[in-house]
Amino acid sequence: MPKYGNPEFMLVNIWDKYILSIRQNPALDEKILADALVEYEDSKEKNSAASSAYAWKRLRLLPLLKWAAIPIIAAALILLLNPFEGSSVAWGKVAERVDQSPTTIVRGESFQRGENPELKLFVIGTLAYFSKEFGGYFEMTVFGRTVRGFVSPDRKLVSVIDPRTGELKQQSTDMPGPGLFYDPKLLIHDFLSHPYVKIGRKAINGIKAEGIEIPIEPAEKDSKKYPGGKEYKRLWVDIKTGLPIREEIKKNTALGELVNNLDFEWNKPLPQSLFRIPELRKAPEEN
Amino acid sequence: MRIVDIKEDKALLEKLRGGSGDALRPIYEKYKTDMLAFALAMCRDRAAAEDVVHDAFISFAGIARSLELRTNLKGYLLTSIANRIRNIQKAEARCAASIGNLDPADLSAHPPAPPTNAPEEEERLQRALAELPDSQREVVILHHLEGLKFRSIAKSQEESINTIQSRYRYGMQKMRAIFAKGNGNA
Repeated sequence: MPKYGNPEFMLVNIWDKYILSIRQNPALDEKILADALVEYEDSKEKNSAASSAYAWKRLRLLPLLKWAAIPIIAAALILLLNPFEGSSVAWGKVAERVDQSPTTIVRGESFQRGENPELKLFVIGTLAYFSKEFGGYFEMTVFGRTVRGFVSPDRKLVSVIDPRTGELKQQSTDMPGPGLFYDPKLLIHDFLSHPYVKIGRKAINGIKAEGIEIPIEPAEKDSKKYPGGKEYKRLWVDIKTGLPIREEIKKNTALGELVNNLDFEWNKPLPQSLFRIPELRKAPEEN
Repeated sequence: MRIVDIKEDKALLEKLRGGSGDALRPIYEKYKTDMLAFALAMCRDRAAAEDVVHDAFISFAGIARSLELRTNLKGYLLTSIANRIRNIQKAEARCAASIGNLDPADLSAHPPAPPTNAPEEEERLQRALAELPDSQREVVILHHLEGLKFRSIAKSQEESINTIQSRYRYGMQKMRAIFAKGNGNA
């Protein structure tokens, strides 16, 4: 067999020998491994970004997807620039849908946050049932004491049971602000009557919802400006049903941040007995 | 050209994706010599070759959690080194020295056992490779000596497979001619 008879085979053979002969550098090996481990641990934080970058690169390089990706990317860009053009909520019909609903259930929580955001200074819990036909029933719990009340079917009269005396106090709902509370439909109408901006989507209690936001009106705030984050009123509507599922309000006050969340349920059957006012002694009318 | 245990590589990569940094060492130990040999043959400078291997492996460690290989791990590491060297060669004249400048110590610390004429053969190989243009040398080493597929090399160099195959063909023709000359056949 000639010494260099088969150059291809011989090249491989010599290359393998050459590799075996390369001088090792254990100190360099350890340095490389130590640096690599640091880089690897650092990549934990960067991983998600790296993954998406890699996914993009892979998508770009796949020949079949190369062209198919163009309309997808264009659509994504359009959605990014006009995120709500593809909205499935017909906002013009939300008020109409609300009006058509025979019943509403409202669960709410209002609380004040101090300097420590984890600490709620006080909480008002609300549970209310409304029926187009029978009126409303509500309970408000503050500092462990619950106030119960009833709203007349025509929404004009509120009867509240005084928790101290057990007497029934009656008053008109003919008030601009608080009156809205006595009919959630009015509250939704009032919200939608303001110019709003769409704020995207999020899941609320596992329901996909789309939101709009309106600013807090000066009349609803103190004249003083308090420090804190952005103030807003937001309404979230179930994409599937087109009905509101939450109203969120955030205001800055002298004590800190005031948060008010109301969750809505619609079209649930409610018994008439729920709205029956107990026969109690009526408190004398105040002058 | 050694047989690469792809299953073992996949298992090690899976460990890295799962958060086990311990898998870096066996990968490095497995391929460090291939990486350094390739870098030395391409760069012809020990310090530069070590730098390139260092950078390439650190870079690999940085993206190992999200790495999905289209080629084998050895191919990935070697093409990563090739890309770095190409960048360096573009930017610096440092790697322009001839293969004759290779530190003899690189080849002498662990001289192979038989055949006894190994250093002479290796020197001939190095000189032959040095006579090739960079682009041909890279393809000859990656394909013929390290077993990478033309497709992988073409992707890493962003060239067509035909271009890579041509470079290989011309490179091998030159290698044959150089060796034939060395054997007194030319």
